[in-house]
Parts: sequence; C-alpha cells; structure tokens
Amino acid sequence: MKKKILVIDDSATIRQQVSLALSASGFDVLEAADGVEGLRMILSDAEIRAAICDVNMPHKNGLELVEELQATGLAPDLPIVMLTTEGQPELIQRAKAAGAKGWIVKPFKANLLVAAVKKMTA
Amino acid sequence: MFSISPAAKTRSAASAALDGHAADAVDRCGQLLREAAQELFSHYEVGVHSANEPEQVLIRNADFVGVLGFSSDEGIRGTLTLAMDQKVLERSYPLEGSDYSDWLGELTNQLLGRFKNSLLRHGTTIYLSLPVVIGGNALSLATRQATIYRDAVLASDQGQIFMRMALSIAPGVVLTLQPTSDQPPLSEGKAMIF
Repeated sequence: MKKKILVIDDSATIRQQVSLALSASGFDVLEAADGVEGLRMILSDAEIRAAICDVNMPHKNGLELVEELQATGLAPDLPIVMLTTEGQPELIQRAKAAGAKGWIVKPFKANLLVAAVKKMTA
Repeated sequence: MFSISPAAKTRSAASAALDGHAADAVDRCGQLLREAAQELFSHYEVGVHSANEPEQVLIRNADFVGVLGFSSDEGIRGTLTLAMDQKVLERSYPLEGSDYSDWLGELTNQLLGRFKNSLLRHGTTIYLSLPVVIGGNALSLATRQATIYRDAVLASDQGQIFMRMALSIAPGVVLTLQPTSDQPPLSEGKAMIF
C-alpha cells in the first residue's frame, strides 16, 4: 500500500511539482491549498504519513499550522517538512521549536525532497 | 501585451531626491534583484542576460503581471512587479496544460524570496506578503512621484523579462546594505533536516 503524503501550498504549480516528484517515487499524494484546509485534512485522515508544508499562505500560514498542532497535541507523530522561499534562521528555529522535522528552501531539488520524505516515513 | 511607456520611466521625484549614499543603497538593491533573477531563471534552465534598459518596454506576448509586496520593521515598503513573455514562462515550466498565471505568481514569490535572502546577508530583513497575478489584454504600469523605482530588463532566447522594484522609505530612515556576520539564511535549494 502506498504511503500517503500531504502537500500544503497555495501555489497549484508547486503542489503539482511536489506531487509529480513524490508520485514518481511511489507515494500517494494529497493536496491542500492553505493551512486551514491542510489542518482539516491532517486531522481527518489518519493514514497521512507526512506533510510538506509551505510557510507563506493565506488563512493560516505554515508556521501557525505546526504551532497549532503542537499546542493542541493533535497528530504528534506526523512529520512535517516546511517547503518555502524563506531561509531566515529565526523562522527555521521557530519551525523546529514547534516540532517540524525539516526545512527546504525553494526551488527544491526533487531528489532532496524525496530523500527527506523517505527518511521520515521509514 | 505588457508595456512601460517612456513617460512612466521618467525619474520620480522621490528617486531624484535620494542623496549619494541612499541612491547607492537603492542601486545596490536593484543589482541584487537582477542577480537573484539571473540565478532563479538559470535554475529553471532559462538562460538570461541583462539587456540595456530601453526607453519603452513592450512585451507583446504577456497577459499577466505578478506583483508581490514587502515591508520591513525599519519603515521600508515596496513591491516587486514581474512580467515576461509567455514563452519564457513556458520554458521555465514546460508541463503542458499548466496554470501559467499561478506559475508566474510562484516565480514572483521565489524571486522576491531570493532577494530577501540577499538582503539578509546584508543585514536587512523584509517580510513578504502573498503574490497577486493580474491579467489583462494591455497591461501598463504608471509611476508615482513619491515612490522610488528601479527597473531591470533581462533578455532570453524566449523573450524579455521585466522587473520593477518600487520602494517607499519613511522619512528619516536610511537604507544601508552592509555584509553582516549574522547567521546567514539557508540558501535556495538547500534542505535542513532537524
């Protein structure tokens, strides 16, 4: 059975790129267009094994999403990797403190993304 | 079609009022933006080079413009406007049936993100808003006298790329760009696993 990965990004083309990269490596990819939808999908689908999450999004940004999951104690074992244009050390530390498992700066290299997801879902 | 008329490229009052150091800093921002664009398009295998800034910019095959705002804690606000020939868009993301207006927004986002990282290496932090893409048949930019502009045109085999950085700097604020020894940002394409 394929492992389910959720990609959360307000850009349809980024979701498409991530989906293509992960699907080619045998993952089943779900998509959400913002943090609210992403959170809803995480909490309603226990089969999601990991999430790739943008930072700057409407409604709820990626850092708010991981912080909310940490604060509520929901989905404590779900690894989340941030995928964003941001490289600012303070934001990376904030994500790490909130329980995120990694940070990738766009444009991403497909092999790095796939390697990160494979490691987190092993 | 996207265009900038000669009248719209006239030096704004705010640009003319900049003193030597401030003008140098703004020029440096323009240079960093051009470098960021060359790196970004190179990643997507679109070879680009700086073109001489023409009196009038006219990109016939451009139906969208990407716009992204930014601000800083020190009273600097601005926008990045990005327009390009449709063939440049398609070359940078050659997947048939793709949503190219969305891709233009994402390119605008990645370009300003790269510019932000360059500014971080020079001790300046900006905060990005969310990209907006405007579509139309005959898009043209105007200028405001109270805004500082730096335009750049890049040329590629697929067509032109136009970038405009528009800045407002609060009275009394001095924009300085000095390489910093602070912890550098994580570079584009890099991954950090915690």
